[in-house]
Amino acid sequence: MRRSRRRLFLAAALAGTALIIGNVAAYAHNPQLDLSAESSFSLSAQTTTLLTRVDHPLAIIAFLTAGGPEAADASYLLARYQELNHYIHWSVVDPDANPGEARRYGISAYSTVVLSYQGRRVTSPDVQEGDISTAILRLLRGRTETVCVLTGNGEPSLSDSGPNGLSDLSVLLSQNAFAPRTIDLTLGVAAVPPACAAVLELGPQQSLPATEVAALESYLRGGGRLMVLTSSLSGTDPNPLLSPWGIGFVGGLVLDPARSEGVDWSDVVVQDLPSLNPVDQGVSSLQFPAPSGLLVNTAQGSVSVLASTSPQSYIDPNPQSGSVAFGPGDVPGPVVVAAAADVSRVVTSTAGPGITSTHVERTRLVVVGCDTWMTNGFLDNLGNRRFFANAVAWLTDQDSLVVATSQPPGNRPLPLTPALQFELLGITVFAVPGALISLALLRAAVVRRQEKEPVPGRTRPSPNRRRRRRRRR
Amino acid sequence: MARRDIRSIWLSAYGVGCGAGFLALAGVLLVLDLRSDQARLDGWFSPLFVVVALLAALFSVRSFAEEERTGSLEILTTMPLGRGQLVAGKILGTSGALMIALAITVVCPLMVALVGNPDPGPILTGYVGLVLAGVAFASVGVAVSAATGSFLVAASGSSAILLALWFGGVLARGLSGRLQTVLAYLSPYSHVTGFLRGTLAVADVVYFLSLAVVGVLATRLVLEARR
Repeated sequence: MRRSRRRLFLAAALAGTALIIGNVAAYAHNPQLDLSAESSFSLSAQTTTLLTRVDHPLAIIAFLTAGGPEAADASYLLARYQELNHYIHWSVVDPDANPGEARRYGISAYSTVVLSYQGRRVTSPDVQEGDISTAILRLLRGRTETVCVLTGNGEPSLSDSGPNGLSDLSVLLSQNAFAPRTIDLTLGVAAVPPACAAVLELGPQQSLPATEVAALESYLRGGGRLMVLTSSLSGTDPNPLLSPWGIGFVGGLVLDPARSEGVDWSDVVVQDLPSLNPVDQGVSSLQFPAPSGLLVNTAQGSVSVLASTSPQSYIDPNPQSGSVAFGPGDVPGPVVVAAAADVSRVVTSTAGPGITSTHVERTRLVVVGCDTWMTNGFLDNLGNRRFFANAVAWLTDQDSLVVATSQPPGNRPLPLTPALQFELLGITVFAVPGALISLALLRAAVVRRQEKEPVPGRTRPSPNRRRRRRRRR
Repeated sequence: MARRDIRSIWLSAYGVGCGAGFLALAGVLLVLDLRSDQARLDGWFSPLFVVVALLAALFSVRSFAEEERTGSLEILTTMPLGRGQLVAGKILGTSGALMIALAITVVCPLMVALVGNPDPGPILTGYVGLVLAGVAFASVGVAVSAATGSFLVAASGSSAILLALWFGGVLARGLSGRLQTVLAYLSPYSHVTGFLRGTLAVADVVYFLSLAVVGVLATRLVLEARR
């Protein structure tokens, strides 16, 4: 007996060890089979490779309304990131339930994700694989890109927290590992500092001096990255700067009776974002107040239309006339209101006698015919914030860093009407359990009846004996 | 042995009462889940895992504690059965009874499929998860039931263990470091996420099978100690 007991304990110890080894192995290499329709939670090979580089704690906080399907999907996706790298820790915070936490992180929009790694922090505009993996890649790069913002021509200020200011935009840049730096090319020697990863001209209110235009032209020719936001209301003519790259500024005021905010036809809602350019990625609509039209040379393959207005829209070249209805002289839509140019060329340079070297210079340009959509008053409207963040990321070569394969779970609407709710409750809460109880009662009745029925050739047991037998049973 | 236990659970007023309560609760959870106006059932499966743990605790008390109370355990131990066979039969019996209850809940996804268009993948994996978790929970419950002759102690003991395991994972989320990793891994709470989202992960399957084996070993050791 003692020997069999010893053998049992030995077998239990061996089985326990095997279980621990099996679980550790499964934890370390955790392959999975995704049976969901959209393979929503299978991360791409790129993301998997990227996550192997995370070797310090990485915190991910998703700000979402708790309890909804979005929060559930976010937790499933973030749990998958954690399964692939155990340095990753995540949480879903409801900004309405935890306003202090949301304020501490400067959250102004739902679905914002804050990622922190080794003292650095970036935000992702959505809880989707592409956004989160790109944000992780930015964190892993470990450097902050300088983004130069031009001043000196009446541009709104980065420190202005009023509705026309750019303080929110400054915060957005800082939260995405960009260091905004203001430069004034109207003073001193006009030249873009080499530290600038991109230059932003955000709504000049007066014409740019010739020296500044020359400096920017030279910068673009040397592989510069420039964003120009302008409108006809500012009275500037950016064409000398833009036309060599296949984009022209038409001016005028774009009016869109089909898609506008409220009754103001000039407060245009842009829903046609036809480009595959990463600037348009994840953006479904934009709000551009008082935009102007652009002209793009589509024959030049390097130019793409980022946003255009509806076919019912038109350009009013003379908005001061007072009439907003389509009239003679107006240019019918759709009107291009945002465009991008991406021009690459091989440059051969001579480093010394008989020594030549070649390198690729790549100029990138984003032009928007509206200079107010990124101000504090409009940045959080529709997809404006994401469009701006995408544009800066594209200009600084931080776009499309991760090709996401997972798709968010599809929308499967099922409106729970009172009638349907009543039906569901009736069947699942009452009918099914009721049927089970009824079957049990029926069976008990049948058994009792069988007990009462006399078996031929057998005497009926006395009531006391029957009671005893039932009790035994 | 397993067939005898399944019959004794489902032909008793106790088993039918527990089963009917479980099914009614599953119906209420379904309606609460569908309030998101989406034909998706992950929000139904998630609390159902906890309810299955409680049902496993209630069903498993009949395996040993009830037998001991009625005095039939002695007859069982004298039957020409090995201890291993006895334990396996008891766990299979409790798991089988649970599977019958789970099979009846298929009415809920069927009703949703009739009025909406749910993704079948997460429903399939949800049921795979419930079956695996049900066997693991039943195994733990049978081990607790073998350790005591009291029906009440067995029911409350196994419920407490299973709920502590579950909520240990919830608490672990507030911790950090190795302790958090170990606590989270030991909790079934961390292992149901994959099933809810429509994925079958090896670690989750291995975890629930391991928990079932731990229950078998514990039951075997408890019976040996009580001999």
